[in-house]
Amino acid sequence: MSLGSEPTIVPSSAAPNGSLNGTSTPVPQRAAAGGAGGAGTFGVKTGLAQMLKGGVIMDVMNVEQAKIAEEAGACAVMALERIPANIRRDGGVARMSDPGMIKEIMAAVSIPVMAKVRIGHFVEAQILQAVGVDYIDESEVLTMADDKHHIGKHVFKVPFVCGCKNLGEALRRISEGAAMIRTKGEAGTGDVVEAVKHQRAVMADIRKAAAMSDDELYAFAKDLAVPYHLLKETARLKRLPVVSFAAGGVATPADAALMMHLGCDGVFVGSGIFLSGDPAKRARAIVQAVTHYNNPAMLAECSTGIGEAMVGISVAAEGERMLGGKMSNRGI
Amino acid sequence: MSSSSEPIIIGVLALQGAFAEHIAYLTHCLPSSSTSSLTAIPIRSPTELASCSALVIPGGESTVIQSVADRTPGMLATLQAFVRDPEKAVWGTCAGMILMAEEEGVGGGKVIPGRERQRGWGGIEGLKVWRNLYGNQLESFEAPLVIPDLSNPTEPFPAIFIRAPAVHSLHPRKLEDHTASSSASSSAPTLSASSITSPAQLPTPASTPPRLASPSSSSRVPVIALATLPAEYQPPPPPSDSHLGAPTVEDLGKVMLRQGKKMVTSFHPELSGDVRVHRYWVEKCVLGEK
Repeated sequence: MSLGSEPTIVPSSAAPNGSLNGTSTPVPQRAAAGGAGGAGTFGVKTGLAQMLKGGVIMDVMNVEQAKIAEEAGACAVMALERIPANIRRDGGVARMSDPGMIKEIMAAVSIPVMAKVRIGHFVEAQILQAVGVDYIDESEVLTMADDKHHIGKHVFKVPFVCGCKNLGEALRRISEGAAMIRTKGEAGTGDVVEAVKHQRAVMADIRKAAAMSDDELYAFAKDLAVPYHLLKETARLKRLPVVSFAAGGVATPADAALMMHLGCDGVFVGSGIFLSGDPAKRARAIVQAVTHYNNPAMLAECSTGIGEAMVGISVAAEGERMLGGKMSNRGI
Repeated sequence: MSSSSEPIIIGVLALQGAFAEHIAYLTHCLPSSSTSSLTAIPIRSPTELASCSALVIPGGESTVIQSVADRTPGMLATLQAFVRDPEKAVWGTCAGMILMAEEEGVGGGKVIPGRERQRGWGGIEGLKVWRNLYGNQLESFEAPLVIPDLSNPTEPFPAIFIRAPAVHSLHPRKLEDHTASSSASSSAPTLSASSITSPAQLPTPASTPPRLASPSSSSRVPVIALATLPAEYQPPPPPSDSHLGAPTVEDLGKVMLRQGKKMVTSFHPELSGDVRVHRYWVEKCVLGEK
């Protein structure tokens, strides 16, 4: 059932996937017309996500942690003032981080740097684009700034990643311009159950769509409240048309490998690393686990002696009562 | 596919990055490329690599690919030996191009105290590269690239550059073109004067580059620039006081190089929707000697 090795094909650059998914599609030559090269084209925005595949993106709160993450083999870091578990603990309004802190991290590491903005807060996004981050996460982990609208992401040169808990949310975010998708999971809990639920929901609906006739797809698109063409493309590819990562509750190498088996292209780890007993060791182990997710002997080795995992919060036991409530219900 | 000849297995290094895309593109272009039986498979262990006669090192993060290889038993040494073996066809894209540089040939990026500098695996002799010379994601771009050796050479190749590395310099080098670079002359005398050819000097697309080389004389295999970015897209020169020495400005825009069976591209043909570069590598580097 592993789909982790399927190629990602973005809608704007139909690639020669015909031989893999059973449909025979001629390889279109992407129009070179226009001449002048494009920065911030959808191909360039999704392209960076494709380079992150098979990798681990780690939340870091300062330069020290960013260096530990890079040394451990993170393919990118998410710079934020408070990791999700601390946002839950502190309560109040969670906002974009201080640009100064983000710039310090950008100056300290060679790998791509991402940062979070509140859902719908396009001015925070403009600020992060001006700062020069490599990717923006329009994130439910922060307090929502707009309870109806997400950011119109096509107009930005910087690419966006957005969370989803089902196929409808994923395709709506892509329609708005997201160049990368992640599960929402339940951030800051260290409980992988919600990420599993969301990834399974996405894949189950993709498999359903893949078996549908065109007229059924029109009706399904209406049910999901998504554009027909994106659903059609998803059904053809048998996967999301952009790179899709796991996020929200990954705490161990085994969690990371589980998400890869469920069809994720890579993994975000938030609180799971820097709230654990030995962050550097755990970070290295999760990186190894994402590459070798299909090799249980290797997983046994990298799960051995890596210190205490974060204590975490059981989502089933705490539910809406947990500090910060269920973040995954924000922004549908 | 014909089973008349021995199967040829192309490995795509699958430690991290866009390996699935390369496998899809290779698979797509293989049937028309030859009567040999070719397959492309992901490679995560030394055992898997042992079955391959050719290798693609994909785009991704070079530091991640390096450290995962280092922490996978036996992997790094096996890869280095493979990449340096002149009999093996190897192609590095973007991060893969960084890893194809010579051992002390990687500049750019931030050096973390206590951590070793990023190193190359020595695939292309004398190649020095500079990481992220084009800048961060906001400076990533697409550009139409003229590659005279591809099929339909008049059709520009849609080249996508993502936080791309650039050639810093090439040693040994063609002396008369690079008089400004005095440091180069000491390492150059063993080479013929035309070891580096610019696209303008290449033979017509119909003819192949000069026949390269028995393995034993790899030090004489010329490095050929197969594509150069138009001036308006070229990156600013890197600092000249790094451990790599002074950069060679004329080389900064060379985005596709070949030395014998080795090739590097600083852009991403596996994202382009165009399989011509994959087909070129399979035909010239993988099957070239057959």
